[in-house]
Amino acid sequence: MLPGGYVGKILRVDLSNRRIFEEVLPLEVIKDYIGGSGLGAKFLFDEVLSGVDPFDPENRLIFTTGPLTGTLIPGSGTFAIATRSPLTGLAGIAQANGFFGARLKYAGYDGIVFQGHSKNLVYLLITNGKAELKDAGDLAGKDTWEAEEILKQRHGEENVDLCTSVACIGPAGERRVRFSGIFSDRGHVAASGGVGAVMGAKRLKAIVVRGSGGVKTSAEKEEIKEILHDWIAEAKESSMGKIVSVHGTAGLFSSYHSRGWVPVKNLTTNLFPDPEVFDGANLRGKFFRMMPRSCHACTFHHCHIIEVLKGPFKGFIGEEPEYEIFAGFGPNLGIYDPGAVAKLNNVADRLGMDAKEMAFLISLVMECYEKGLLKKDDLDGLELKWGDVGPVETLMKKIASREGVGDRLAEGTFRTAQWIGGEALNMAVYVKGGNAPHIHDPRTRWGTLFTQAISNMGSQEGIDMTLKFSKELGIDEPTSLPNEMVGRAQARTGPKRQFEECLVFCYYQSPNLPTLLRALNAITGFDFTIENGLKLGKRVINLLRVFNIRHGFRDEQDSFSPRLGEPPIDGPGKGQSMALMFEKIKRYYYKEMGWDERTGFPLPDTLDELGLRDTAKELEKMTQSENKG
Amino acid sequence: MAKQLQIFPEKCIGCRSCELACSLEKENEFRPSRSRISTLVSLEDNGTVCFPAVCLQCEDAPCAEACPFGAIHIEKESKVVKVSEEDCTGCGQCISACPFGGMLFDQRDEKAKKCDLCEGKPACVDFCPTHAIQYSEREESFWGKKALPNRFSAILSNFRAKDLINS
Repeated sequence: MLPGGYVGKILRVDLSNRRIFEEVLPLEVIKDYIGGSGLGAKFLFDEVLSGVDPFDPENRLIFTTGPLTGTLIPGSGTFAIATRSPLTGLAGIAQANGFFGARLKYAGYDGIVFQGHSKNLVYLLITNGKAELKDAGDLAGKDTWEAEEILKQRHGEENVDLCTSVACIGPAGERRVRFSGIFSDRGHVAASGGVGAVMGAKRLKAIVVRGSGGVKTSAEKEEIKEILHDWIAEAKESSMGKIVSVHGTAGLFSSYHSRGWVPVKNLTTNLFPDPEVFDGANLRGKFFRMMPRSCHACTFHHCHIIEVLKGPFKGFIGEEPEYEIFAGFGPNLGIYDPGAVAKLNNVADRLGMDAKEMAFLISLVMECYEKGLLKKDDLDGLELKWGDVGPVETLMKKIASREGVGDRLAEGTFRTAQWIGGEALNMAVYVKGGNAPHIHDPRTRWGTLFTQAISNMGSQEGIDMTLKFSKELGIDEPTSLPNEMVGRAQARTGPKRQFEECLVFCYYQSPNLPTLLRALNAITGFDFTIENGLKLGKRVINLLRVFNIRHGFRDEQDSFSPRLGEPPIDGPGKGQSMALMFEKIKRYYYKEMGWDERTGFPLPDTLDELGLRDTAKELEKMTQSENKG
Repeated sequence: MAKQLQIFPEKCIGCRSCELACSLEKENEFRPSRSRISTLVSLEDNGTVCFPAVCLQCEDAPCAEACPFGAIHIEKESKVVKVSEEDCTGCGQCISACPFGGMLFDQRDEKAKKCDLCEGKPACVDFCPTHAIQYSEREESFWGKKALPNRFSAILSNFRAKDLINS
């Protein structure tokens, strides 16, 4: 019998020959991978074989939901997208909140797998279990807000948002800008890994979902309601709840700044004037007029549309920037006006690009311009000086249209540094030899730096435990120095986070692990324990690792760029660095994970224990042929 | 005075928790299309104008007046407006008559359904994170203060009558 929480069906769309069909989601796959990132990883592993380039028609673009999606679990409109990333060549998995995930399920599917390339630009319309590809010629070049608006008016309810959601790419995705994202419900972005570039390569402009279906639960409603109340209360009581539900993520700004974690001018300093300007408490209602625009079943006052009330961008209306955007388009570019950040955030969103990569790309160009590595002529006459907003906007537009120097920059931070050459490679901020990290100055935020360096998808695979501890996971001592403790914390938090990402819900509204398990079990009828939940998370990490090895991953790619290893020259983190200890921590982490300490490849016994025996065989064959070659 | 639902659209953030709570309570599943309450979110103003549409148990219930089959009555003590499932033919007259979009056409059962205040424990109120829906004794002047936004009034009257999904 089908477990609660699932529709039990996946839609497969072959864009090359316009074939669309339904597949049953097998029960054993559900039990081993649940949904979300895990389910995406499973499809990716099974279907994207050796030699398939990210822009090859045989690459997959996989949208997945989980059993909590579409319920009253806080933020359960969330969904995941998996593909082979054009930034790293490794697995790329991104998630977005909003409503799209819930409405995909109400429209009749737990997920969609796209394969092949369409000849012309198309969009997919799913209405209550009926799917069709439609010509998107008139949407070509439309930004993400325009495309969504047009499709909602065309296929949704008269002038109201009720049950229709759109996920789309902007002009950047259409032109395969390597760090394009997929945008849904105005401002909710599946940003990481260049998922939008793969969508663009497939000539798929948008997906419209619309349905009147629902989600059934295994347990009775009284039990479900009790768990929901516990979940909501625990999320509110968490440290995230206390800050984010009042000030948004900008509420984290001052505390991060006090630790030296706010990136300033491409990590060349940690000092800048008036950090209070960006403190959440000084923004909402004071700098911005707030108009709530919630996600599915949100219990926080998180997402808002804002109107800028002060400064040169007074009157501008856009989405409220998150902490990382304030940091990345603010001090990181020498810009100290929150209104300018809101404007630039909106430009990048509408054009359809990931703000992380954009922030560290532009800051690299600015530093290179300051130091004379790039001249005005190299930048089509633009003067990219710290703090100048106009040229940044122009450059973003050039990147999205791959015009002039924009065509070079559209390749991302790492490839841009290669193009500039010389010292630029030592200045660029990236991990895994391919993608920019989340927008922090992670040089003294040990867990944040380490988790992204060893991550299988370039994003945060585990949980940063710098100055924190977790009784649940047996981390009784906060990691305060760059030593083996960082590796140990990663080995323990990685499986937890990856387990959670199979369930897909709003990360800000997380409950305690026991409540999470109660919810999962009550909805599905499964009997997950902490132990086998963490085992499932570990299975996903190992599956992704073997996928990456298949696509050429070697342990040198578990790394960060030279700039990320340089000690800060000022500020609270002055003089500290993980660089010298990194290799040692990495080997320690490999050992804790049951991987070969030298290569970082999972050992056969480890894979066997996780039920990945076939994977062990594939890995063995790969290593044998490599040794012969 | 009997307790009633009170709507505070200015507090509504459009999260649709009410729809999920209602459908769980009434239909044992999370299914907004079968909820007795719907949040209307205008596509104008960047989608930030929200209005929870639900039955307000009018004393002069236009739905009851409009019903050609006498299937809608007001319960004496509780003042709850109720649809008799046996007598409802699913003709949809009540749905067009309601000025607040408070009547649901349930596509599975092909009948009109509406809020019955969950026997005094409304699930929507229980899960509304911003207190945009409250359950209390209503002031006489309530509707004078809570005028329906103009942009909704045109679409509301036929909103629930129309099939959500034309398939």
